[in-house]
Amino acid sequence: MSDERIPIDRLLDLVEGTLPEDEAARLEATLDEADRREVAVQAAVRAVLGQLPGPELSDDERQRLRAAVRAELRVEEADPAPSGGRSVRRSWLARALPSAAAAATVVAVIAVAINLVGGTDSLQETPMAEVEAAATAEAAVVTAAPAPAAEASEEYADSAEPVATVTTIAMVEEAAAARAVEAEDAAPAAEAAAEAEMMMEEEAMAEAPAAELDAALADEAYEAVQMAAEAAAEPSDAALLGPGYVAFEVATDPPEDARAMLEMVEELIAVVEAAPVPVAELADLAGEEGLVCWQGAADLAGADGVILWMAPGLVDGVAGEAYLVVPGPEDRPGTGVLALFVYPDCRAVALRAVTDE
Amino acid sequence: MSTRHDSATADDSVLIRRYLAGDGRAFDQLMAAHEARVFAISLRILRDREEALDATQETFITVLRKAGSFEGRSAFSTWLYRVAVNTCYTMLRKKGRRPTAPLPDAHDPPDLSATDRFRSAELRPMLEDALATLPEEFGPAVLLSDLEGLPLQSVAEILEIPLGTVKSRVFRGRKLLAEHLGNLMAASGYPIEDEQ
Repeated sequence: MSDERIPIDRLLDLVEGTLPEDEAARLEATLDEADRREVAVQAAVRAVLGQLPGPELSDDERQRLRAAVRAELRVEEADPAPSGGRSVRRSWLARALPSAAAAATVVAVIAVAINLVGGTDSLQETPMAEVEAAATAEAAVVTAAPAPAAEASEEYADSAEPVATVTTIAMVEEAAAARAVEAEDAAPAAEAAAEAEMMMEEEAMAEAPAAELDAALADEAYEAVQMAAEAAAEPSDAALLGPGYVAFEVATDPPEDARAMLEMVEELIAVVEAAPVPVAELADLAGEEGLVCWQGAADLAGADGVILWMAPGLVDGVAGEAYLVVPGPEDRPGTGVLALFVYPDCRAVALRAVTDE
Repeated sequence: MSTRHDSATADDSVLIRRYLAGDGRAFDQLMAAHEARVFAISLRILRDREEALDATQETFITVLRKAGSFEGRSAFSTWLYRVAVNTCYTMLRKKGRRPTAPLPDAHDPPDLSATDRFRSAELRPMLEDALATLPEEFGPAVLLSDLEGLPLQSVAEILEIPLGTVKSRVFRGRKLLAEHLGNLMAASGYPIEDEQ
């Protein structure tokens, strides 16, 4: 075959016209009949595909799409609202949890994760300013207006109810502090929570610059997360928290750097406790189970109480993800833990959530 | 040549900063700049309009949520399209299906008189079907390169694979397509590989 005589990439360069003229001429001179035909076929397919008109969004689809993304991200409408009567698209994530509760939970998770990490200088700068200012805003939104009613057509909406506990940062901090006090060896976490409370008051008033974590910060945060994970080895006991509280703790296996962790934590809804599970098993089981909602997880739980599902790619550049859901005990409906695994390394984001209505 | 690309990248960076600062118009501009292509990529991978819309929605939500961590090391569009491709294939895997459609045994073009046969409404589905038969290994490379017209280097960045691998995948993907489209291309006067 011609491939064996002239490397494919060289032939492709010729087809693409990316070679300098003289080099292209030299290469062409070396082509035999099979090579020439190969090049011609390549060029023909390229030309055919290049002529194929692309699919287009209709005006209605475009408006629905933008409205859905805008709603999910809570972006203010720049222009007058589009004509009424159109449904807003809802992503699977929105179906899984009311968005306000999800946003509050996510922000709370970030805040607590960072709070548990404790106060290195660099941690207290931009990330805290950003996250906590956002957290305050999000918590205020949720407190003022609890999770929006789900659309009737969305099967997942109602089922998310148990997790839609209204959560404020203060509540989360209080919960973290309570747990820290309770655990004899959890002094660092309590200290971190108290310190975080002070920082939050300061930072919430500050501007939230859109700064990025630098590598040094990531390293520091990662180390701190590991320390926090050890400090939070005690299982969570939601019964101590009282109604309406959500406790989060760093549990196991943080990802390789804090930047990645923070990015993934942003995507979590209610969270995590997990030990590594073989990726292949996760993928197979997830495919069999399909997407399930939070409450549905309890219904679908097998004898081991474990449900797996896959979610569309939330972490860019990663081959895939799977969620592991472990529903809580029967007498505690709506409680449970959820873990995010990121392929191909199958690292679990190490957070856990237990809700108690 | 790269000026337009660089300029688009710079524009995107500005729009992202404005979006992060709460400018709703920047959101609209970012969407307007990229939604059509993200949707096109999604539809060509998923072959289902509603699913493609879901994927497009999910892609923008994912990317814009993380816009604060965008460092500008590569073009925003590169990041966006990467998320789009990953989202689509994750959706496909989740459903445990490939977007394949059986090809007819023969591909006699129904409208040979069409000036541009490949714009002919009758032929387009065949081409789309043929594209859908490409394995995941080759499909995205061919799609991004030949249908979306992206430079191979950009395709490499989007798919996060070496340039040489992209070239190989595009080459082999086209070859597979040529085989699928054999009769169609022969009837249209395009050269056709007769071995295999």
